[in-house]
Amino acid sequence: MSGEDGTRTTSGERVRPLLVLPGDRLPDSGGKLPGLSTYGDNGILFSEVVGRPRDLDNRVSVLPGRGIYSPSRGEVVLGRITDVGPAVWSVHIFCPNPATMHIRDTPWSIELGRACDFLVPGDLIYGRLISVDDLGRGVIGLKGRGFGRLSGGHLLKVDPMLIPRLVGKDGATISLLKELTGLRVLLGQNGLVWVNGDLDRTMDLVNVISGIEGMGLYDEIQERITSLLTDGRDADVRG
Amino acid sequence: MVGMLMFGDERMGSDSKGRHDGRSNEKLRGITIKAGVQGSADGSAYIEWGKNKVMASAYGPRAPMTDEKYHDAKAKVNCTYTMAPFSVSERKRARRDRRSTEISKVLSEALQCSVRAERFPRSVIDVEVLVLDADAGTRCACLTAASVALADAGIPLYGLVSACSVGKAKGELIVDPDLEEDQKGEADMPVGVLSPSGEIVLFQMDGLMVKGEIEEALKMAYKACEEVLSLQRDSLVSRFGGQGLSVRRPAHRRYGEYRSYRMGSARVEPWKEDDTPVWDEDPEGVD
Repeated sequence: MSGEDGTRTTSGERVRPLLVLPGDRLPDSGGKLPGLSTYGDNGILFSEVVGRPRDLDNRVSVLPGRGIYSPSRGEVVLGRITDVGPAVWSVHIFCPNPATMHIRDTPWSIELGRACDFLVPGDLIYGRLISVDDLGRGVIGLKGRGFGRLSGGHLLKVDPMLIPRLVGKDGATISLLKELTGLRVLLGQNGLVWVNGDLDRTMDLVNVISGIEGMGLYDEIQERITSLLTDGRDADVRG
Repeated sequence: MVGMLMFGDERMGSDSKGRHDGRSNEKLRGITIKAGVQGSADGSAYIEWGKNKVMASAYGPRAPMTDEKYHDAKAKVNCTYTMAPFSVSERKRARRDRRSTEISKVLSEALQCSVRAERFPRSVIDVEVLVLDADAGTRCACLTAASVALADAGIPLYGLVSACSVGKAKGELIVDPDLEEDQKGEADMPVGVLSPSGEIVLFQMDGLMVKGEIEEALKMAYKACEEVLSLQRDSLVSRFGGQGLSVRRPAHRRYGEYRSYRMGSARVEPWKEDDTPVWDEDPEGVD
């Protein structure tokens, strides 16, 4: 991790990072705009979750340690079909309100009333939220490269706030995970991880993710992943 | 059994000054809070407050059931207070009673004030508090633990809610009365405070106090709530950041510095000197 996170200085010396709790006044927030997970009161910004403060483009945000998935347009999610109608599926995406998917938002040519021939309750899909209304009810589309129905594999449920940490900077962490395990891994921003491949490697990945979930906000994930996956059997994993 | 013998010696009725356990009037019982103790819940906390032991779990937000009340524009907080059958000296029947219903209601309203509910329209947040061992002051312990559980679940909050009760025994105000002081005392006043605004989200009183005593008791409650808040913060820091994290002191408004009280959804201006007192005279002579 770099010095911007407050864990290390340029000389590599360990410093005490800042963790804000709900109701804490955010440091250096005077005259700045409230970002994610913050609220303002008379020009003063406060945190509304436990997390790390982040100042970016005159806007102060807090990166939560744990959190609730709140759908936004454009996010990539994994979901499970819960109901099917003539033209619309209901999809559970692990947020308070269910999402829907219309037959016209799929890459297939489906006649009205034949939706159940393509996806049935219990099927797992990987898609993108193309719109979200004021009540947080999303509409999913499957058009796009890599999107569609998933078959086989294992589905893991993790904290949604862990997903950005699993992705890492420019996808570095997830690339490392894929390289070390040789698995096919898909991350949904709603806190679901789909894994397909060798069962032993899958169990390794489950152990790694469980270990990461228990780590502090400022611990260094990539070092931990490497040590967990290569500990004692480096040649085996990489081979 | 030792506790029962102490209970029977009628110390509270004696003329001796001081509290039976040797605490000063402003001192809290020993408090231990641990966040994130239950794997199956979205957020959880365990608190030991003197002899009280309480487990709090937070779930949600979730979509409301078909027959469940909900708000269109914001989330609704449902808190359920349950006492385990073995939590009191005489086995308690495992069913909902009037007291549990009342405490569930006041805890729900207190927590509702602390949650940024407008972030989750038309949804429900569940908080379950289970009293494993009871020794007076359970609603304060439950509110304190429930607030930590909500923060542990990552639910957006205006701030943490810390609570403490102030009682009156032998004519003196005492912070955090235990079971013996609660049963033999003259009054008990649980107070819940939301940081950083210092708004009161829980205020109840059982017994009689004069106006000046209530003012003094509120000051003592605010001071005690600051101590509880500090322990809540420590539990969350050790849960999320490991050791060695620097923590900013809360911008906690002290008693007398706040502009107004907020009890439930109603906003009440603070008392002024010329306001009608609660009691015109000492309530000793009141039937």
